[in-house]
Amino acid sequence: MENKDIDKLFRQTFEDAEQEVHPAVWQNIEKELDKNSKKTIPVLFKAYNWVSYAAAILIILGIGFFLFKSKPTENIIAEQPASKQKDSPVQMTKPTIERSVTAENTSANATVPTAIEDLPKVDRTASKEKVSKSPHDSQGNTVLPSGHKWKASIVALSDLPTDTGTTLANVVDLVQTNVPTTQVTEVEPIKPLIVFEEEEESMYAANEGSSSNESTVITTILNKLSENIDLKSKKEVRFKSDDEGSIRINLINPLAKNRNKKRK
Amino acid sequence: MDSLAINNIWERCTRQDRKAQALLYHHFAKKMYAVCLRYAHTSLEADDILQNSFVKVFTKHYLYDGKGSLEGWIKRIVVNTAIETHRKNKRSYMENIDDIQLSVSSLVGTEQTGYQELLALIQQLPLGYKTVFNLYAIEGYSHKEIAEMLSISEGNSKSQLSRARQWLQNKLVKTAI
Repeated sequence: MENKDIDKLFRQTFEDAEQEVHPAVWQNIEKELDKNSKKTIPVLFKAYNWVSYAAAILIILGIGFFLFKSKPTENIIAEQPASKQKDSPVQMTKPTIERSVTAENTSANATVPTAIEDLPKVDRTASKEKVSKSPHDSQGNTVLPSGHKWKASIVALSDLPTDTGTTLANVVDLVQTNVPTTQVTEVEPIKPLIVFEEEEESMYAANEGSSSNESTVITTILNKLSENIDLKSKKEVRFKSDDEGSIRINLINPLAKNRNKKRK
Repeated sequence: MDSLAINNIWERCTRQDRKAQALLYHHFAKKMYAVCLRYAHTSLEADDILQNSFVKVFTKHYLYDGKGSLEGWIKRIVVNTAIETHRKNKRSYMENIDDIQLSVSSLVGTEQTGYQELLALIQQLPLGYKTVFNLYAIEGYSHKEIAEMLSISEGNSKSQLSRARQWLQNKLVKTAI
């Protein structure tokens, strides 16, 4: 055959040829098309955005839950001249509120430790809070979550300070031991031998100056929510965040009670 | 289906209308599959070429400018995909001995150059010859175009074509006996 004839032969045979196709091919095509169309989802639904907003909502719900359920029962006593009061930071990553309490020991005395610790971390340096316990206050309980490997070493309570206005100091010293102790330690406050009369006066505790302007989406959301929850009063609770993304709750103008003991 | 209906369907395809896409696919699939079989070594390979081609057709629909027939455009995509597949598999344009799809039946009689037989012959062709022969003799591209598509010289294209013809001729003579 001549060249052209070969070409012609094949061309005529194959020009409009048709052959049956496997059904799987179309299914695979559809899968590919579905895959492609899913790639063009807008930025809004990217993973990290979704998670942070969800976390913010959970925190709001959690805080709201606590606010509505119970009123705060801590006693905060401010020192007369000036008091530094730092509130406990709320860690974003932990669902429970972690508060570690350390305070200076002004009279070389120590009292009942109070701490609610979350399991692995203890942030001792992050916050200092002076907490004073009145003798008949039965809240001086140390409750460590069971299964905790931290051991609280409790320094004994001794005599009361003689000055008015000075605060009792609490020291919490949590020492990690290798001994797998899992104790729940409950310590009652030691009752004094002599009971003095008390008088109370209230004053505003000094506020930490709001020097930083750290706010994120989450803090603004929380702030707006706290304003809206309690409409009658001005803002009492402000949220701030710092460089590391931790969130800080500031109580504005909290009333502090001064319990002065009348001593002779 | 007349061309008006096809245009209608195509327009819906550009809007990712799945039903239209299915219609378009089923209208052209058999013909395009036959094209794939000519270029591929195995029917599995042909399936892949067909699948990839139509995915391209639907995702890059904007490349069809409306000039020239849609069928021609789709066929062009199929051919390019077939060539690309060979390139990816790094098959050299040398004689390829292991032809999997051999269906050269023993031929009795004279009129045995039917479709299946010729298809089998083409599939047996060594890769380089096969591609050039397909492109020149059946698709109707020029040597210049072929040289561009395969990144070879025109002379290479011509020599491969003549070798392909010789090869086929030999086979046809043998089978015709």
